[in-house]
Amino acid sequence: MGGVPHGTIAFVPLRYGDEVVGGAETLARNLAEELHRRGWPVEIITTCALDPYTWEDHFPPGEEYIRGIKVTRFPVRGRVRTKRRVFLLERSINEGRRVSRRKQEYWISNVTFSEGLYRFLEEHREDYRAFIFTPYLFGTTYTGMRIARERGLVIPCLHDEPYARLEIFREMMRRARGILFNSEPEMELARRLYGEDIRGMVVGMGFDDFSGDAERFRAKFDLQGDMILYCGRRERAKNTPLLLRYFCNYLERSGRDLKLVLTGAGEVSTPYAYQEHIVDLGYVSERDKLDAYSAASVLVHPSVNESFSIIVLEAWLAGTPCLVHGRCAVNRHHVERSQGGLWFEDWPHFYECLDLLLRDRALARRMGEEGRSYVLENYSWDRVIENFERALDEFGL
Amino acid sequence: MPDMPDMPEEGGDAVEDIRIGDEEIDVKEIMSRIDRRISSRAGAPEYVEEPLEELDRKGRRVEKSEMFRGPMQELALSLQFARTYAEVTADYAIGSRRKVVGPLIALVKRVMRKLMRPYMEAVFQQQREFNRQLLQIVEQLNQLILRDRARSHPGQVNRLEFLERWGPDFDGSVEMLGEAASLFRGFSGLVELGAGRGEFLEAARRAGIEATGIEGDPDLAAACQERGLSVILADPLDYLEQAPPKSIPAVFARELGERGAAQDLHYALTLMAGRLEKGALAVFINRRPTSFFGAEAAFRDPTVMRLIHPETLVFLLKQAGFAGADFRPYPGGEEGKAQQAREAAAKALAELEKDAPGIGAAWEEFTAPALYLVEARR
Repeated sequence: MGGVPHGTIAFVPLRYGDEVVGGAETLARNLAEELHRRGWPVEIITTCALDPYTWEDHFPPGEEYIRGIKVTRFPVRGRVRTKRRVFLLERSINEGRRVSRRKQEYWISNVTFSEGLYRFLEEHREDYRAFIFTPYLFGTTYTGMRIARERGLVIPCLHDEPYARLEIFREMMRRARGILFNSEPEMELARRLYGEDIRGMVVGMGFDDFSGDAERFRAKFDLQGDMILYCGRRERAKNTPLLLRYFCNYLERSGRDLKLVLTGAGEVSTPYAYQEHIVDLGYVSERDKLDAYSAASVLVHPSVNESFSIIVLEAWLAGTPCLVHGRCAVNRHHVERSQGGLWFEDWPHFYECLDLLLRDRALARRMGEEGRSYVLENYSWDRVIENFERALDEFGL
Repeated sequence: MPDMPDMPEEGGDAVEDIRIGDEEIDVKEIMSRIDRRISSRAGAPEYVEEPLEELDRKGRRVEKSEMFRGPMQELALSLQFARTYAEVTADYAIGSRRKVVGPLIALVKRVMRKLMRPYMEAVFQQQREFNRQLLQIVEQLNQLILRDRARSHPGQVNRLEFLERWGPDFDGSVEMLGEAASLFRGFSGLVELGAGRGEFLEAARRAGIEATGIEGDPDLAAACQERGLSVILADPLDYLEQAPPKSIPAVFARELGERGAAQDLHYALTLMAGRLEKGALAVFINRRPTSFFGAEAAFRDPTVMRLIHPETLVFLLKQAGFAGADFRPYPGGEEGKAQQAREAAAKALAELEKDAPGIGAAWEEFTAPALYLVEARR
């Protein structure tokens, strides 16, 4: 390894690369690239993993440059859920049962482990201005933060979930030199869980304005008529089964001719009687995703566990109103502040809110415009980088 | 876009119908109004939520869309099915409907499955691998098709906006298209491929001729539908492909072959020949490439790829199996200017003709009407 330029900031996401899909990873990549564009010395220290389910090594270990940023990868030992003990521990944590500190340590050491990465951090701790780990819920972040000590910052991408209440994470957050939050509700959650005196600041992620081409999207995928959109992983944790259920009920109750278009990874179990109305496009390119936002009448985001919601903010940039789950503090915060959509917590509210957005096109358009103004005003890169610089100053780095 | 059904109005005066005017948006206030509406309509049939399995079992009760479903959507649906059933497994749910002996039957089934599993798995493994490979091939082909479709799309040109600005100049007004529409008197079931803003459909309506337009651009189709014109939102080629053989009695198209890939014209004509009834009338109006006014209008349109010479179109029609194809000039939007140019130069050209024979004919061609009309029979 050559010398590390003075003042280099190292981002340590668990996965890194253009093929990687995931909120925390996208956030780290975009922030690192923007800092690099502005002349900051930035490096990426990561693992060889790509698949968030198997955690198998996919990328070759070693160094490579991605858009001018040096990326160093280390082999990873995946989540050893097959071990009965780890599986049982995970289940206990998820059920909110008390798990001893020793068992928590054992569990986290099995949730991704990279010996090479840890050795590198040990050897080069003094060479970097700061190490920024993300997200909180992995062994590489937990162990990495311990190794990086006073140079360790974390972008936790925190959700209100049983894992977040573990003692090991409480200790990690309290010991961190600084925590970079994505939104105010996320910071409030952390303060509730870990104490008011944790060192944290909201930084977020910036967005570049774009212009989606709705017609191109419709022509490419042969989609006509009204459509609502869901983007992201399709899994129980993201509430996609609830969305499918509500959507099919909506079709039945409203009589509208409507499609639900889904993009992203994961299986979608489409009911046979609704095959015509549910279009699963799977993984689509970035361009297709941006075009999809423009083509959609409404973006629906049913997840209750979000720390930032890139998808919602991108949809607003395209001028599309959003219907979010009211129990997701972050999304509700965005909607209340922006006036860019509505929220639901149960079926009648889903029905009424979606119906209003589809019926009153002028209102939907205005909400989309309000959302767009909100993103441009609050999440410009200038503003985010300013927040980032202020945070480093605040943390004395 | 299809018309949205009106919301059922229930509940009478006590129910607040949420209407947001031009006032500043306040989502908290809107949500409060929604809360009040839900409280006042507690127990309304819309608010009864059914489990997905129940809805699926009953199937959709509401009338299915009459919207045209394109081949890509068919492919996407089939792929969804294929993905669902590709993973062949013996692990299906075992049970029995019999009340008394049911548990025993289920137990026997489970034991049988356990005994047979090694043999079944060997076959299933091969089937799974085959399905996987086949699915992969289809997915790759699908990606190739999607890529080509995305590349061939004319980008971000808003055709409706463009035609509203420039259309009357060259695209033909309702009045100008009246003559072409009148050719279809006596024909029922006329189809216009690529209805645009619906000028021809309007002209046909005025002439008392029933016609349906096929338009692939959702904005244009919606604009037509808003004016009460009968338009199906579909790509004209997709529409022709799905139409039964010899089912269309008359067809009209403007700017045939001027957009899209070059080979689309040959393909469209062959398709048309197959889908038109015997004796069906086909009329096309295209821009005349030798006319200054025709070429000028074409160069102004960012989606036009090429102009088709009238003789070429007649030749291709005959080759595709049409009879009696012939063309004649047809006035375009700037016919007034063209007429003026012809008349203004007539005297001078007569003089020049003595020294430069043929110059009059060349000038006439140059200032000819911007469009030409081809009439053919199947």
